[in-house]
Amino acid sequence: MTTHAGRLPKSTSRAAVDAGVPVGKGTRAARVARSAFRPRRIVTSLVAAVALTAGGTIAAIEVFSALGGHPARLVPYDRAVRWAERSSWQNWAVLAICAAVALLGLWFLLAGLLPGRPRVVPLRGDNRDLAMALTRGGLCNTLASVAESVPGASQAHVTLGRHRVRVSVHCPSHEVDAVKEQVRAAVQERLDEIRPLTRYRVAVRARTRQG
Amino acid sequence: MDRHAARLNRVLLVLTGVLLAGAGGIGLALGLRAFGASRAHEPVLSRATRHFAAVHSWYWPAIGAGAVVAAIVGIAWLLAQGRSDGITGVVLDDGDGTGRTIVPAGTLVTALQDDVQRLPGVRAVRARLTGKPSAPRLCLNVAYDRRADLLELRRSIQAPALARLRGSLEVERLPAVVRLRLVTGDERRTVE
Repeated sequence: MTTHAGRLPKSTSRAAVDAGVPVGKGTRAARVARSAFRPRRIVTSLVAAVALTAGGTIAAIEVFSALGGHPARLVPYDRAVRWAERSSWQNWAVLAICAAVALLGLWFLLAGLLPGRPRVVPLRGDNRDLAMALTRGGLCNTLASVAESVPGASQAHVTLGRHRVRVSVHCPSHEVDAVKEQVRAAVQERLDEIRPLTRYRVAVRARTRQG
Repeated sequence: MDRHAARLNRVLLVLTGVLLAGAGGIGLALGLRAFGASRAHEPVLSRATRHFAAVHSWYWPAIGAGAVVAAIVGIAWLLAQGRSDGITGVVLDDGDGTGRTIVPAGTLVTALQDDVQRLPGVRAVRARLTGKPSAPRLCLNVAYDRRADLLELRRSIQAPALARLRGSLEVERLPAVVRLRLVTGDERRTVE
């Protein structure tokens, strides 16, 4: 009983919150949505982690087995030492190895520093607690069916650029201009309803049946 | 999904990146005579280096310890990729400090999945609760097909489905990440 009494005020305030936490123009909500779908750099991290583990383990085994008097010789250590004693820093092989190491480091560094583009399309919402995203294919498909619903337009293909949606439709040659404009308006309208985080411009290309 | 791993990945990638780029860069600089022509002519493994290693008894144990640390960091990093931050239960706080109830996450998640699954055009739903038992977060993946009305689907997930989950959790806020995925199949031909 007491628990019920305790819960009551909470449930009334919850009703107000259910409508969604309004957050101005959605800047905070937009940031949340954007960051929720950033790439997690899993592939690069796996490469780096495997390399680190392998390198560390082999080096540790070599060093401690040699210190213990029974070198494990997992790598041809003597040959490597002899080669390193013979070749100078100017040697092309040494330079190539250094360049490869530096490039690998640069790759890891950029993967860690650059935020990366989400592979899905984050949607703009009014609620900062709700981050929603759509697959690129899903957005293209929806827009294509909208374009095909325009009279005269058929076989729509939609591709998604960085800031541009390219729509290509088949239409009879005598109504190209009208159909293009209608398709553009319809697709734009649907985009305004879906509200992706990125503002896309719509570009329509018409293919006449003969061409 | 798991933003914790994402942050760890970034930090460790930057660290290993700096180390590798630094080492490779210094090697290149030596070879390209940035430190003078005499340094560029020296062998990679000079007599001085070998002498240093032979004289100082701590040299090889220190290298070995460094290698062990690198291996441990690498293994921990690998394990972090597979780890999920899912939680098995949610703590309901009664608010007046009289008691706490733990609700298993499976029950809550199944109820939400059923709610969403009933929406038209939804093929598959997978929900997970993550975060802390006292401050849960929701991760929801919805696969829908061409029959679904995207806007309607979005509204129905947002208003009734998530609101119901918030209601049963008795929380005012439940941060949620929702992914809508279109699955293509032969559905279109058979249905229309």
